[in-house]
Amino acid sequence: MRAKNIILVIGIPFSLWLINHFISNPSIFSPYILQIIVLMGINAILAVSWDFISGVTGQFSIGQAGFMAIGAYSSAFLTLKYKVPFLPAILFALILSAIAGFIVGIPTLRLRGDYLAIATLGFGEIVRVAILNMPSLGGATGLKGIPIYSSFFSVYLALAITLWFCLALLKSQPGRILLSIREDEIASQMMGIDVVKYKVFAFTFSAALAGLAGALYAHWTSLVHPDSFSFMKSIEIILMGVLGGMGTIYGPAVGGMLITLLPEGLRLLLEQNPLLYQNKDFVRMLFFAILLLFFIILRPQGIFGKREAKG
Amino acid sequence: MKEPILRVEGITVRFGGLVALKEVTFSVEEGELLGIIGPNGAGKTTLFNTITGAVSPEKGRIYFQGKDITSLPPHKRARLGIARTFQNLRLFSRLTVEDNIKLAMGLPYPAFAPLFSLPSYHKMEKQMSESAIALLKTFHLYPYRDRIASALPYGERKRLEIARALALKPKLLLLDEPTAGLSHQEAISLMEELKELRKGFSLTIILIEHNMRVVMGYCGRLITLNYGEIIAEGTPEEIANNPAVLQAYLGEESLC
Repeated sequence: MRAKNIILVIGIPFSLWLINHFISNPSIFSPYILQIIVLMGINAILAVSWDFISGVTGQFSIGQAGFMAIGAYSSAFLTLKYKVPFLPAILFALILSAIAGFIVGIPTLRLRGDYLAIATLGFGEIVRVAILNMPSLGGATGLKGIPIYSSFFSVYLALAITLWFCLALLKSQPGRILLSIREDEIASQMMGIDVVKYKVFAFTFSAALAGLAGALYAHWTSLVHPDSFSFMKSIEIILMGVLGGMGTIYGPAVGGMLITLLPEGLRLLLEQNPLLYQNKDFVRMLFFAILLLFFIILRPQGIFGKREAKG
Repeated sequence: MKEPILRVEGITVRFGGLVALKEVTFSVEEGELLGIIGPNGAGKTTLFNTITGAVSPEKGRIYFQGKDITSLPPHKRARLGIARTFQNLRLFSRLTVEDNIKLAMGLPYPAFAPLFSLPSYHKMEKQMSESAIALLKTFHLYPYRDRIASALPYGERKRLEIARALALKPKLLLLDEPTAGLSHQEAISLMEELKELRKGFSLTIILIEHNMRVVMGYCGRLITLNYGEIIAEGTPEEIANNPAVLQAYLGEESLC
């Protein structure tokens, strides 16, 4: 047990570091492929962050893009304007988005189901519109020229730590408690569980992870724009989670990767046909919509979810 | 005189214009098995909800072991030692039987302990598994421990709910119709198990029950509620012969 953990803690970063050298070499992998691989990792973190609050704790959030935006803008602002190094900037992004999660968590605790979903949707839009109207954050033009600090190594190390933390929580008592809140809030109160405290914790933790993904994203694309964190982004994150299997943590991670990869495959197909290529954004959304419907009807538990036995 | 484990004083609960409980006052001595009976809609479950904190009373106070708990939130009352089961089962249906039990054991290590795989985490998880398994064996649920709760047969689910309530290590156990839906045989064996447990865990039990054979055979004292008011209190024999109780259950004409 101990030995296995030590091997993992040393082995994973080391192998990521080795792969990084190999994968970042433009003569082996084209920058286009590297771009897709890194975005796959970032989206996997996002999908896991959504799964933690919605799949595990059962509090449906349509505002993950808002937390992501806070992480992206706050870290980019520091590295761009104040030349802060990457790691402190990421920490700042984590803390700020966690605070946002905490603040959103408190009032939404009185809300359930649809009402909570609408409140988080509203939060995401508030963040986007607020950024749009802040000249110091670039307003509608966004922030440009953010130093490219993210790499395959940093993104996948962040993903590994995210998965480690979420899975460790999921299989221990805190995770069981969060699952019980999803299953039956009243019964878990009667079992002595402080439901309010755990829901706020789940929101804070989930927001911090989304903020982390945002910070990595900003320092990879070198450009952040309010439109990157729109309502559609939140929907895309939900799609990743549902596709992978809600409440499993690793399922959404895979879902996030697939949803990043699929449009690229689609693009290759569309390039054959000029008419479809002209409307490629429309075709992409149509494709996602059909995919989501397909899963909800035929496999509602997602790729990795367990089929539920009927009582 | 010894302080009763639970003292309910003048509790009034109103849902809009409906008075669900009206000036309800009673106390429960430690180790007692108190039965609450009454026709449908008499306020029995509301009384449980008020004691556990799911419903807050308009008037009146509740004391548990001499401590005023009227304004405590439900989870704190549970931690003090008040556990309950529900009339229409509220298990965590997509979790395993064992996890259902472990959930009630609180958080015995810091929440970050599993993140870093700390020794306290492994030690406490092991202890939790052991006591969960012991409890499952007592309730003959051990063979089902890895199944998800919703996959159990009805009688086993009822027993699991009681086992889960006991995992809280309660001093007072509130059972809402524990034998409803069970066959006579199952009901009797469940009551025998509870009788044994009461000794082992030094439990005080309040139970709501419609099965008169269970009530008469096992409860030491009975309270009868009707339209939110206590209309009779006494031993099973006294209650069985009380005209007010007969009237509440059978209507006025039955007395003529």
